Amino acid sequence: MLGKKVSRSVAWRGDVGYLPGDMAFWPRLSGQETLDFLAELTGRPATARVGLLKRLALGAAELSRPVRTYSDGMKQKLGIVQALQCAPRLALLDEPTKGLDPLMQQAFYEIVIDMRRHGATVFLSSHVISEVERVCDRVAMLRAGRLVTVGSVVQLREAERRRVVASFSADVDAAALAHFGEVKAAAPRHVELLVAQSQVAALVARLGMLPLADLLVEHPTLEEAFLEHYR
Amino acid sequence: MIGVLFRHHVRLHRMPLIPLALGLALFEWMMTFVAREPSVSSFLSSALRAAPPQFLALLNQDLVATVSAQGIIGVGYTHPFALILMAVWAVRVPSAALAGEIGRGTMDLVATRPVVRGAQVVAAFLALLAGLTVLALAAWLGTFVGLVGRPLEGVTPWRYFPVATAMWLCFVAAGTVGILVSALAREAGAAIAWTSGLMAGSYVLDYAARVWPKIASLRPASLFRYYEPQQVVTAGLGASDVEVFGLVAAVALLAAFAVFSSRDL
Repeated sequence: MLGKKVSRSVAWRGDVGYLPGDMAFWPRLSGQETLDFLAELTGRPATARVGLLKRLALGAAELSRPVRTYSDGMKQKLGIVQALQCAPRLALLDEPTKGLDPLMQQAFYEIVIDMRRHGATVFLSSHVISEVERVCDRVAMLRAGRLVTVGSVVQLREAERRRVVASFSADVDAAALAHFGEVKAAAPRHVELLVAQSQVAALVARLGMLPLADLLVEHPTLEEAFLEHYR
Repeated sequence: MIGVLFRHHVRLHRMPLIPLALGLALFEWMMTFVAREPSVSSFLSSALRAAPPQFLALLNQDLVATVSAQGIIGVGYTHPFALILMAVWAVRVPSAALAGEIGRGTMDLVATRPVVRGAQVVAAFLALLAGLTVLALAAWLGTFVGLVGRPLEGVTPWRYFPVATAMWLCFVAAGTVGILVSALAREAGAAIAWTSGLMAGSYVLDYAARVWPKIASLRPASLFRYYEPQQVVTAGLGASDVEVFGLVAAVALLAAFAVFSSRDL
């Protein structure tokens, strides 16, 4: 891990920040005591703490209160700060935006983008595909505990079938286009297909022979790519 | 890291330590008053002479020693009230330190830091020692203040320092068994139940073995067999008793270390 052997030494963990999926704290400790304790355990100065607290809108008043009085969203923010406060080189974040309001989600995305810019690696697990698409460079999809696919967001989207939407100025027989790909929707003057990249050129040529009024060819969203793998 | 974890345990448990220490100090201080009141002493003396031997066995006293002023103060160190206050710390801290962290989910935050598992066991042990030291000292200070404030002829507070030490050793051994239980458990509740059960079982076994000759041979299996304040007051701390407490604590600590280092968290 990060060039260090993990079998015996535990020193490498100082370079790792971890946010568990089910966040739990010591209820009687204040937020400040919690952060101080966990930074001491990490063995590195909490150089990023002040910036994180500011971005996630956790003030001194909130930090002086016992954690048992925190809302779920505040606990999640404290969880993010404890994971990233020592500027780890590798961050493992399990469902990091759970319980955050849209403004705080936005602040979190900016934090991740900044970390990436400064050379840190962020492993982020999420069921929110739009946030993965927004902040991740590479995506791995898991199904029943097994790796289904891994690649960059662009690669994953490009590897999937294109969505082709064609509109016509006169009625056409959509069935005549079915051998190019999967017909998702068909009407006399409208057809929507999922087509492999290799078939796109042939389909466009065929559509040119029809009374074509409009044509849209687009990559699938990551969500559509994800669903393709799970079907 | 051990220091950081130790301070963490102290921070989590310092509030209950204060009433426990005050309770013990006050109780032992009151025992010095009970011992000096002739009316109370003579009442106790008559009551104890009339009491069945099973009752004296519960106090872990012999009659002659108990009816003296020195003996009555000694009763303060075997009284269930004092033992329960010591047991609260010996159960609470070990159970919360390992099993409690796992059950609450906070072990995720600790175990992903650069902390070796052994450090967690050692920190729990140090927190156990520190709290028990405060409690045993508080108990002895109660006796000390009571006897220095109003001296009792022939009774010096220093005689009770080895008694408080014996009580400390007994609960260090019991609490270290609690650390082993905690290293095996997944929830604080289970660890508390098992540790309390083992302590209560050990106490009951000692008592039963003293009043029921058929099981007298089982008495050495109880930790409380080696905790005899009246003997300590008159003859000092027995080396063999210290060895037993030390051995139990050492074996339990090593076992806890081995179990916790290799278990799934």
